[in-house]
Amino acid sequence: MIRYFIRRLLEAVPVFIAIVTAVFFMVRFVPGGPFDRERPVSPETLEALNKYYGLDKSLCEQYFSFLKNLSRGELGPSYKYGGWSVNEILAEKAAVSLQLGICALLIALALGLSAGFASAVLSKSKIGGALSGFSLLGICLPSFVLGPLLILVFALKLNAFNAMGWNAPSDAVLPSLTLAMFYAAWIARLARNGAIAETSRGYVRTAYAKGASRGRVYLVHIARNAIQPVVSYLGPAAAALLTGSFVVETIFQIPGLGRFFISSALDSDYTMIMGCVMIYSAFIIIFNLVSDLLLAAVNPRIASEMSK
Amino acid sequence: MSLLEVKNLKITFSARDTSTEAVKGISFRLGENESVAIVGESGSGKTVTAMSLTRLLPPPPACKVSGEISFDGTNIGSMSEKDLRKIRGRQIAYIFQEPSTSLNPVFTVGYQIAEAIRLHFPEEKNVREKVVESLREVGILEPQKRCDSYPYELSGGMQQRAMIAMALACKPRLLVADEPTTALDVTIQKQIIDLLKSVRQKRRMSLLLITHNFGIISELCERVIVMFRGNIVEEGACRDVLHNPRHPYTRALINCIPRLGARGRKLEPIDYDKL
Repeated sequence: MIRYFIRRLLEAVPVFIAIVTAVFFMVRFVPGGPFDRERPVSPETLEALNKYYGLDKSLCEQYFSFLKNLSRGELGPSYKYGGWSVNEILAEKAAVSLQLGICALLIALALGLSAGFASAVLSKSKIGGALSGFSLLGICLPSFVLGPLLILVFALKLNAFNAMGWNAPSDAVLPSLTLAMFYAAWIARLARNGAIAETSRGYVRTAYAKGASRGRVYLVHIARNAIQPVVSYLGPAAAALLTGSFVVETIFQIPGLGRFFISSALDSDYTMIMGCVMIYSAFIIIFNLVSDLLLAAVNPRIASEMSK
Repeated sequence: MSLLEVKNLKITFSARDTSTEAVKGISFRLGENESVAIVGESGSGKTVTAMSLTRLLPPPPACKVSGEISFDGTNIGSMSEKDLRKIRGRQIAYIFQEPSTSLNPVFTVGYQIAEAIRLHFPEEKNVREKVVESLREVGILEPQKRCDSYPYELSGGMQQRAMIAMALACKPRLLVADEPTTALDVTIQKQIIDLLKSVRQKRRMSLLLITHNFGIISELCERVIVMFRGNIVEEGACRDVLHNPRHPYTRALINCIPRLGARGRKLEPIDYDKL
């Protein structure tokens, strides 16, 4: 199992380098540069800026100096936010997005699994149908509708939370709910469909035939089989949640990483783009690996495949 | 007094606007320590009959069961869910057709057998010992080690042995074997039949064997019930029915058994128009 883990990490290295390389060249082929403004800058200033940031060198030289810095963990200065290095911005903003993302992930899991399994158990009754309808609503409702709706009800009408900002712990409630809803709904559907498909399996009949109660059959026998699609989905979902969301962070005015994904690309802030891309792809790689390991913990057959 | 008594059992399956009567009012008995086979082709209603004995069929409205099933004098139909669970596994245990899907893929064989023991004997302390013992009884080599095997690590024959071990673990009075050998190849079939035979002699338990294979019943059963399209068409001592079938369907079924060495004899399919 440990060998599998190490092998997967080693396999991820060339993938990571390929992504970084592709993005490095792609952003430089996009017309415009980091110092283009609405008001033109004088050619002398532009030349000085390019020289200062090393952008006057050839692409190849720039690429290798980027790799050299990367190997030391240096991502360089941001072109847009003077005086800030990309490392500093990432560290500060990612921490906020991470907190928000973890809250959202936990909410999504708790809500999604309980709603999903409940609607599977009650699939023949009206409550089950209603739950599955709600989950469809959760998938269809975009966060730019849900967020303002939550603000309207809980902040403006009920005065229970602040409408925006990121100061008190309670400020995390509305944005993480907004962020979590889509994922909760998706998890609920995966869990529900998984559980319903499992109920017609032979081992369920065996479990009833040996005298197990309905609760036991669902919680012990069906749950462990039905949770597998949810576990596989958790990898990409966690990566997306933890790197922040542009929409949610903008609605709730949260100083997270999400908006940098968009703004850095619009500003051609090359170093910042690279930082965002690297964080996102690292998260994807890591969380896919984590979800595969979790899957092995749930399903012994997958575990034995891995230790081969 | 008979251990199991079924009177006028009717089982109807309903979907949106169609309903199918799978079993059309059958009655039979099974004595203590008696072994009976229910024989019939696919769709004759034999498996649903077996399932209905402990109410394992889907609840109404999808499936409606009427008639009376009494086990050891108590009526199964009017029993509470809780009392029924005490019958399932403890008094009436099952073996199913497809061992590979009848075991839960994510739990060890030992865990699944132990579960049956824990459900019915919660005060039992040496559960693992009992599990190992039951695996040894069904002829699994290295039962200590096999306890921790997952179903996918066992062959089909071994899986069926594990299923039998699970069914026998709580010392049931009636074992319902629903096509226990159909999914296995011929040499393994013979082993499983011999195993069932020896266990039954040792345990003195009743057996209800559900099968479409006339070839295996003479070894295991004293009496045979022939089912056709939801009705019992013939019933009698195994030897009489095999040698002297009265109903044309029984005759046709027996004709379907391939015989070794019978050269030049074509296997005859059943001609339903003649029945």
